Amino acid sequence: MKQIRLFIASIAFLTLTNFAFAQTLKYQNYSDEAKSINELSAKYGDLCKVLDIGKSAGGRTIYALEIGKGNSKEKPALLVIAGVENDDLTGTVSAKYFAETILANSNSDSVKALLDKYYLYVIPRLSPDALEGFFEKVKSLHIGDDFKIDQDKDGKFDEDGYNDLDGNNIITLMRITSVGGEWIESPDDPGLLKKADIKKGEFGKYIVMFEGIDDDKDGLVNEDPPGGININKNTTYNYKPYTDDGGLYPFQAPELRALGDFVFDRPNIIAVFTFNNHNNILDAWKIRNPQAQSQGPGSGAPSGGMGGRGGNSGSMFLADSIAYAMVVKDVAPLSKYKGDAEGSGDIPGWAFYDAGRLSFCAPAWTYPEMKDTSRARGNNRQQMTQERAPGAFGAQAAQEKSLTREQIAYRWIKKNAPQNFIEWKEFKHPDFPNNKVEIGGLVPFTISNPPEDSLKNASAISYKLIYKLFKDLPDLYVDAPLVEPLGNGVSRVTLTIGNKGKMPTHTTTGRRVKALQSFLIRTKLADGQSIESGKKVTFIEEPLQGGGKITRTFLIVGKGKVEFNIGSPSAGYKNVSVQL
Amino acid sequence: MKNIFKYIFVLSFLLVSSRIFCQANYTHSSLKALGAPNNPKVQVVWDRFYDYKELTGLLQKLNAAYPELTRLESLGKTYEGRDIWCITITNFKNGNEADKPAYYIDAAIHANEIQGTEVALYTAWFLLESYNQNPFVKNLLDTKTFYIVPVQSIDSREAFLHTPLELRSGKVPRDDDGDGLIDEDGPDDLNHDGYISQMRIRIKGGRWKSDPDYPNMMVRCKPDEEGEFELLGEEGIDNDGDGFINEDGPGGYDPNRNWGWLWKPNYIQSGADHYPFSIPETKAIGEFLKKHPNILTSESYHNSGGMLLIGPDQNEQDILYPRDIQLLDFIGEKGTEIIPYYKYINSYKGFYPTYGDETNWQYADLGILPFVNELWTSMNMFRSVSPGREGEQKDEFKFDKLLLFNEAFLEWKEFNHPQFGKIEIGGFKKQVGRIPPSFLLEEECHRNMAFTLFNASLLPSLSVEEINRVSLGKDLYRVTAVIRNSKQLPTKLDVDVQNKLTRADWIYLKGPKVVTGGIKKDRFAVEFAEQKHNPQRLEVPRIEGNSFLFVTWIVKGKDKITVEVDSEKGGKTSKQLN
Repeated sequence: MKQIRLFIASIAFLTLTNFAFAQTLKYQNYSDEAKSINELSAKYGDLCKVLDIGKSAGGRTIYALEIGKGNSKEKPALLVIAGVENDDLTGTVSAKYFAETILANSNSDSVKALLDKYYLYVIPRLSPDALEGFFEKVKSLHIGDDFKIDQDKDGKFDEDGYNDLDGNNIITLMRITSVGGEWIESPDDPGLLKKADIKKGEFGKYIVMFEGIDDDKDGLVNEDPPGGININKNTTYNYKPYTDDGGLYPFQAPELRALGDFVFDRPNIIAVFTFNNHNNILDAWKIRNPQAQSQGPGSGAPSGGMGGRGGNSGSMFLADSIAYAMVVKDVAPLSKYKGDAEGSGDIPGWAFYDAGRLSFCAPAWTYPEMKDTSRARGNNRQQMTQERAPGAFGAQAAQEKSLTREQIAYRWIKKNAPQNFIEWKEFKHPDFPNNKVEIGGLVPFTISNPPEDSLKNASAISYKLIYKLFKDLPDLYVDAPLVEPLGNGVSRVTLTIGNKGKMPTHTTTGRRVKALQSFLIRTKLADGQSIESGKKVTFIEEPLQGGGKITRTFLIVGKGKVEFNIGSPSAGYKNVSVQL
Repeated sequence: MKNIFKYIFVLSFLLVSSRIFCQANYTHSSLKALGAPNNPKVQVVWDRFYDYKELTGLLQKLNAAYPELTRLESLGKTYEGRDIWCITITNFKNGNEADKPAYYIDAAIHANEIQGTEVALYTAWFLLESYNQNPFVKNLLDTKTFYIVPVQSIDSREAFLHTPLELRSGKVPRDDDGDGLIDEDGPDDLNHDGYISQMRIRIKGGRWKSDPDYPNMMVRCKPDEEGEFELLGEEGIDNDGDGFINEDGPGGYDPNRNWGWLWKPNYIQSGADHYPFSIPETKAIGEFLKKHPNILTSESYHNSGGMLLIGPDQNEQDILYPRDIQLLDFIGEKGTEIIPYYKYINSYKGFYPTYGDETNWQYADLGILPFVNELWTSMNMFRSVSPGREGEQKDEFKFDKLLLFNEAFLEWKEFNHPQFGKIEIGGFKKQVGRIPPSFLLEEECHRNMAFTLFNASLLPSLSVEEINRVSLGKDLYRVTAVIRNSKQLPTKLDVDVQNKLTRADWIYLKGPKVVTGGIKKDRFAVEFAEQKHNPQRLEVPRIEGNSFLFVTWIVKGKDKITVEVDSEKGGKTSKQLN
């Protein structure tokens, strides 16, 4: 009887400790989240450290969780990043949930085995400034971080921001009926707007901007709102200059500098998962023939042409494209949330092409598509650059015939949460006395963030996906060395090195951008021994793919113990020795 | 008796003062050679190189000698903790440095391209010492601002001057070969002669031989010749036992590929490092340039080759706008007259694409008209270059023999190399090939400075030429003003106007209440394009070079009028009408 009671009690205890906190997932502002991160590290002190990796443009500390034991420099690692899009709070919740759950389960056999072999880094909120807009009295989407930019070049900063004209404490859109407008109602989703396509016979009807008036009386409305740089448009990968929210030059955002330094200082990170609007697991990146040069003479020339990158999508080095495809195949069934097309200057693209890590990304949440998809037709939007109305709307659909996340959200919201779409209502606007002005649109943050009671479900789904990636990290092993005595004190030693993980020991891109270290075999001889064939330091440049095996042979003269140290920070290390 | 003393006193006073005031064309002891400033306050010789301590002292002396013309500041610290000096030169009494069009100079972003520093220092020295003597210089400093950064990559330039190293890179440590060790295997001065030279080994059948005219020179054998040498490369040993020599020396990036325009990662652009401005020196200078939007023209000193280079440096975007090209062409062509043997070249079409370099970023993101001077050409040795593949090298040997008396070449000397056995080490000292000898250094300084002064003299010069007021009745007046830019450069480049990099030029009317106003089409038109918002501050995208701008306001009241022009890169000017 006592045993049964004990048994029940321990089950209950385990259940509670494992899932108690998970029942209460909430959207947190910056300071609440910062507090909970520090509490987490206090709770799991021996496994979890909080790192201060830099400051945002607005002066907020950017935190990273470092989870693991032993020397992190010698263990392959996965980096999880969230807080990248200016409206994605769900990602920060899911990223933190992933860390918490791993830590809570760190005594289970499976998680323990992973934490023995690997390290895990989680940056739950890389760009903390923009997300505070969710918690302000008047909810609005920020352009990006709090970087001071004089957008309209009038010598003043941030002097004409949004205004809550209809008094509902949210900033939505304004559409101004005007002959010169570029926007029309979306035929499939009349509450949404899309850019008119002359080629389809569509004529523009509206000028569109965020809700507001001309605060500084310069003839422009909301042309210099607070902030900033959208960090998911500010990396060096496929960077587009001269935009309103992409910064003056790539990596101008201090958040990205912090990320860059963090990643380059950790050559043990072999894979990166980013919560953002794009899903490169379901919409796999196009892998062009890496042998082909980019268009035009001289591009990619100076450092060798293989895998040269140009134009809009990169081409990968062959070994890396194999690795990427292998992992995508493995984890795709677990990726449930569709994304939009990849933007330019994005972090997942940077993580692979410029920082050389296997890079995976997906939204933290997308609404379920409504069953009635009979009107689901391709609906390619363009970025809004002219009307200076930044934000989540205007994204491009991932595929020709698919819906954008905004459309998916709109259809679900219209049916299930209509209060999250503000119907277009006329407003007498002082700056446009002769035009019809209407205010309306999706409530900000609703495209990417479900009601709070759905957070646990969303986070649990992302948990499974990221956990699989974590399990897929490279797993180095070395067979017992084969020794063949050839007589006269000469021995042939053959090492067989294998990788039973799914990801490779390193990437060619990572080596080429000098972010990852070489995969080495260091040979230590006893006194009097010498290597006749082979080197003391053997470089293995070709990545050892998941499931792959290689051999290396050494001819060694002399008796004694030979020690081999094999590996790299991103592959881990194994030591073997032979007694000759 | 007393009167005689008075006489003597007055006479001697006159004698002494006449000597002082008659100094115009005489130095202390003799006739002044034309060119250099007369009796400079700060005495400097220009036939040698200056290290960090010396150039810091020189800048401080100049600053102390000319406090009203200079400001000396540090833009930040280098990796090894040295200051990145910037000297601002302008007549502060005639206006704030930020209110004048500015010219920016820097040098030695590549640490082995050392003599740019002397050129930049010479320019600073010459401007200051000539201010009171030369009206052309005086006018420049009264109306323009010069920002001069004599050394960018200070740490490695210091290493160039004081150690055997010859770094192009900076000194921030990088693991070049990815073996987990940082900067563990650089070049070695094996024979302790203070230089990193070449290694060769005598092998019968090797493909190199001695040149018959200059036995120290290594030349390739013709197909039917039997040679006796193999070349082993740069002086060094395998420090870390990995089978490679000199594969991971100090640094390991190219500071001139670390900037923000079209930055590309290492496998497309080698040396780019991690991300734009990841290197402390480039970051510090980038911040400085952003903080000084009055900079319109810039010049960077490199070596070598005798060229004035302009972008674009890559083929993906031909970013130069046509009218900006016209300005560059005009100035560049003139430069080739001022500095003989220099060619004016578009570096993409002339060489290879480079990504993430300084001058393209200055142009594309800051609207600056940039020049790169590649100093020193081998033409300087004999005013011509010997023909043939090895012509230039032969000229160097000839120059060493006849003008340097064999100072430049380190004789081939035997050495016992741990890996290669008996080899020979020798070669030209690192001062050969890209850097002038002492007696040609001052010429290089002066001619390039002269190009700078010519270039700077084209910076915009704005003035309000006239203001007129006509009564329209009912206390209303039409006020017209003519604004002139009397120099060739516009207040903004095309790239700036097209991409809205900087703010508009503003023309204020101060005094009476402004009812409306705008820009007039031309001098004789009456109608104007009305600026409805804030007409007391008219906004124009720019003021063209060698042009006039005509503005009109309708004002109420007969108050005293001030027309003020405020251009970020064109400077400030104003005029009053009573």
